[in-house]
Order: sequence, then C-alpha cells, then structure tokens
Amino acid sequence: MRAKWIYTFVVLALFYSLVLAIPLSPDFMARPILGWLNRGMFLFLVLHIAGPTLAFIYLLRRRGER
Amino acid sequence: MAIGFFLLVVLITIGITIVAARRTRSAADYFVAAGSIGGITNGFAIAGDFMSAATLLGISAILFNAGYDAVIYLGAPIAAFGVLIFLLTDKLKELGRYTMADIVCARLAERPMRILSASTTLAFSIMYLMVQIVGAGSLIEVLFQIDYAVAVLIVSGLMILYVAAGGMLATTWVQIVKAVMLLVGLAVLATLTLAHFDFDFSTLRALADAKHGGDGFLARGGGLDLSLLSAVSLATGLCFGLVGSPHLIMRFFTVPDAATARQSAVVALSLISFVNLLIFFVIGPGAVALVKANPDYLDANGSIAGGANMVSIHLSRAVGGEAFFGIISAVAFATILAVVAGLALASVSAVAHDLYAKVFRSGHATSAEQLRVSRITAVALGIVVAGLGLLFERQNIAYLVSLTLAIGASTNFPLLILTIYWPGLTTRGALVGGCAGLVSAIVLTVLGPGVWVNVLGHEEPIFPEAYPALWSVALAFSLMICVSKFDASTQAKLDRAGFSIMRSE
Repeated sequence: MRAKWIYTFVVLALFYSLVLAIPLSPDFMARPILGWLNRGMFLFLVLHIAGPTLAFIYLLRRRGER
Repeated sequence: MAIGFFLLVVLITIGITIVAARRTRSAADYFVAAGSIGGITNGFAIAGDFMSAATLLGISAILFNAGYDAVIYLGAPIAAFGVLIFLLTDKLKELGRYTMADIVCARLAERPMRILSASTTLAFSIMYLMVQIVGAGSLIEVLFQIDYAVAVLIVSGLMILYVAAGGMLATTWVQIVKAVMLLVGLAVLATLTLAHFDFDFSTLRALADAKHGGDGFLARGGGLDLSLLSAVSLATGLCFGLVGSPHLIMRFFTVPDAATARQSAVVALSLISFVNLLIFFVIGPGAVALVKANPDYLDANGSIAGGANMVSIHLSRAVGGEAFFGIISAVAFATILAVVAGLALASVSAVAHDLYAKVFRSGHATSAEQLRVSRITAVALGIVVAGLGLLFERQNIAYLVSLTLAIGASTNFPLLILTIYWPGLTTRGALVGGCAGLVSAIVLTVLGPGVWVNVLGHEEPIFPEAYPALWSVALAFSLMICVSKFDASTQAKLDRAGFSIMRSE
C-alpha cells in the first residue's frame, strides 16, 4: 500500500518544515497572514489538522480493503 | 482544597486497582489485559500514557520562557503517531504478544534479541521513571505541601500497587481516568482563559506578546537559540524516541486485532492534537499574559513561585480560583501516576517475559511463574526508583529526558523499522547497530553540555551538541545496514528467509 508512505512523508515533511524554519527562516515564518496568526502558527495548525485527518482517511481506506 | 482532590485521585485509582486485581488471573491478563481493550478505550489509554507531566507543565513552561520554539516539542508527537499509525501499528499488533521483542524475534534469533530489547527497555524505562519520580516529588511538594521524600514514597508505593496487583488492566484504567481528567481540565482551563479576554484571541495575543518581551519570541522562532543541527537532532530524538517508547508500543498488544490497534492510535492522535492546540494557542499565551510579571505568582527572588513548570497551575488559579487550582493540581498528580504505571509495566514485562520466561527458562515458564516474577519485579523496581528519586533530590537531571528519548530513537526505532521493512536485516547487524545506538546515545549525552558542563562542571563540552539523537540514530541505522550486508553466517540466511513473515499485507 503506497498511500501509507505518502501519508508518512506528508506528516514528517510538515513537522520538519516547522523545525527547519526555526533556525533557517524565523522572520519569514513570523509574517502575519491573518490577524495575529503568522505563517509558523499556521503551519503548526496545518500539522495538527492534517495528522489526525490523514490518519482517519487511512483508517477508512484500510477498513474498505477488508 | 487541593489536598482533598489529591486524596480523591488516590482513592479512585486504588479502587480501580482492586477491581482489576480480581480480574487478573493469567500472564495474558497481566501483561496485555488479555487483548480485550476496545479501540476507543485504548486510544484514551495511549493518550493518557503519552501525555506526561511534561505535556501539561513542561511544554507550557517552554512556551512561557522560550515562546514559539515549543512547536518542536508539540509537533513531535503528531509526527511520531503518524509514523506509528501508517508504518508500524499493524505489525505491532500482528506479531507482538507481550513486548516489543516479540516482533523482532519473529524473524531474528530469539535469545540475543530478547536480551538487547530487554536492556534497552529497562534503560529507557528506568531513566524516564527517574525523571518522572524526581519531578513528581518536587511538584507534589509545591502543590500539596507534602515533604519531597514522602511524595516520592507515595508515588512509588502507588506505582507498585497498580502494577503488582492490577497489571495492564489497572494501568489502562488509571491512564483512561487521567486522560479524561486532563482533557476536561485543560478544556475548562482554556475556556476560562478565553473568557477572561471576552473570547477575543486578538486581545489575548496582544497582551501575551507585550508581556513576553521585546524580542518577539512568543510569535517567532529563536527563543531556544537552536542551531540547525541542534533543532533537527532535538526533533529527531523527540519524534522517533516516542515511536520507540516501549510503554507506548505495548499498549498496541492490549487490543484484539490490527484494525482496533489502528483505531486506538487514531483516537490517541486526535486527543493529543486537541491538547496541543489548547496549549499552544490558549493556555501558553494565557499563562504569559496573566502570570508573567504578576506579583501574585512570584517568589521573594522575583522568579515564578515553584518554578516555571508551575505556570499552567498558576494560570488555573488566576482564571478559576482556589477550587479550580485544586482540580488542576489533582490532574497534574494523576498525570504522573498514569505515566509511571505505564513505564513500570513495560520494565516488568521486559524482565518477566523477555528475560525470565524466554531467556532464562527458554520459554518453559508457566503463566503463574511469570505472574510471580512480574509482581516481585514490580516491587523491586518501585524500591529502586524510590531510592533513586531520594538520591537525586534537587539535582539537575534534565539531561535524562533527551537521553531517554535518544535511546528509544537509536535502538528500538531502527530495530522495528528495519525488522518490518528491510529483508536484509540480520541478527548480527541488529545487535551491533542496536548496541552502538544505545552506547552512543549515552556517551554523547555524557560528553555533551548537559552533563559534561552543567553536571560535571567542565568549561567546554567534548561533544558540542546537547541533543545526540541525530548522530546516534544515524550510527545505529548505518551499522545495522552495513553489518547485515556483510553478514554471511548461517543465522543470517535464516534471518533473511524469515522476512517472509512480514509480507502478509
């Protein structure tokens, strides 16, 4: 099942983007995009929504296989 | 009032243990609750097992002091659970019975792999237990005005009771009670904090940004002053150390099948995400806005009373008064109890199942004998941990957290991934890489600034990085692969042929 590697890559890529941006581009991530919400906070929010969502999709796909 | 809630938590958990003890008759009951836990129930238990005092208190403290950089600590479990759910959960449940070693031994030589796996589990669990017990002693001393030594003895005694008498069933329900208390407690704390600002995020953020200081680190990276390598190494240790945590891995053996194991991991991930969002967007900034520089929460030296770990507890008093402070204090206490119970059970399983039943008795130990050894181990472990807790009172053992996670990331994680996904792994490669991961994690931590400078008092560290995981994980993977590639032994042929058991998907 190739999807599980894609899901893993997406979640790890989001997490390491968040991590790498801290030393590499703090000012870029600190730019506001919506009121007080900046790019870094938005990426953090995306990680926390994408993680459980992809996990839930994976759960449904695996259930459908059986 | 706080002491009343403290006693209530103790009574509830003892009641759970008494009920669980009556239902625990066999080794399967004791180690994995006979695989009878449901998906949602186990999801709550996994969340309860994972969310230690570090989640509730430590990360709020990092946000309070260093600001935005806390995203590394908060994001790591999300990535870790992703890896667990997508890559490991199925095989953990299909091949694991009582411990992580069961999975590795499904295709590699049993005796050496059980010894390696039990060693890493014991190293991981005892060090993590020490961190929890020393933290618990200090925390309970501040929260409930109970002497440090008495607090350590109470936590150790309760841990022995849960694990020796109730096994996995008692541990599971203590973790569920804690998870529910933590979720409800934090949700109410976040709601009260927002209510304090008339549910206006902008006002909360503006005050928090102003109070945090002119550096702007509450909203931008740089508060922890991490180099690129340090940031990646810290993130790698946190993320993959969590994937390799024996106390979390064994929770997947408590459900009836792989589908339920996946369901429980998704429930746990959702709960942890919810708690992380509350901490990052509301509780952390709320603590900065309402507790920082507030004379009500400062000691005579002008520092936060009880230390920075107390900021979320102080926030509960600021927005909810004395009664709510008592409740959140009890939640913090329950949090510690649940985590030490999970860690102790992982250690007990490693000794009773891997070392005693499979290595010393070559698989011929009866269920009753394993139960007896488990209970003796639980009591011995409790005494050792209490002794270490008393010995290390007031000492700086923060380095043990990164060391513990580095051990999980450098031994268990590569071992599990390569066992399940790489046909070429051999017993010799796994042993050399696993031992190298364990030793390098310990040696690099000792030579790094956390121990060499802060504890041993030298001026310069021999190894410049505070977080060794990136190096020790890379070393473990490299050696496992290289040694396996050049391994031409008879056992290596059996190991490679044994990979067929992993192709069941």
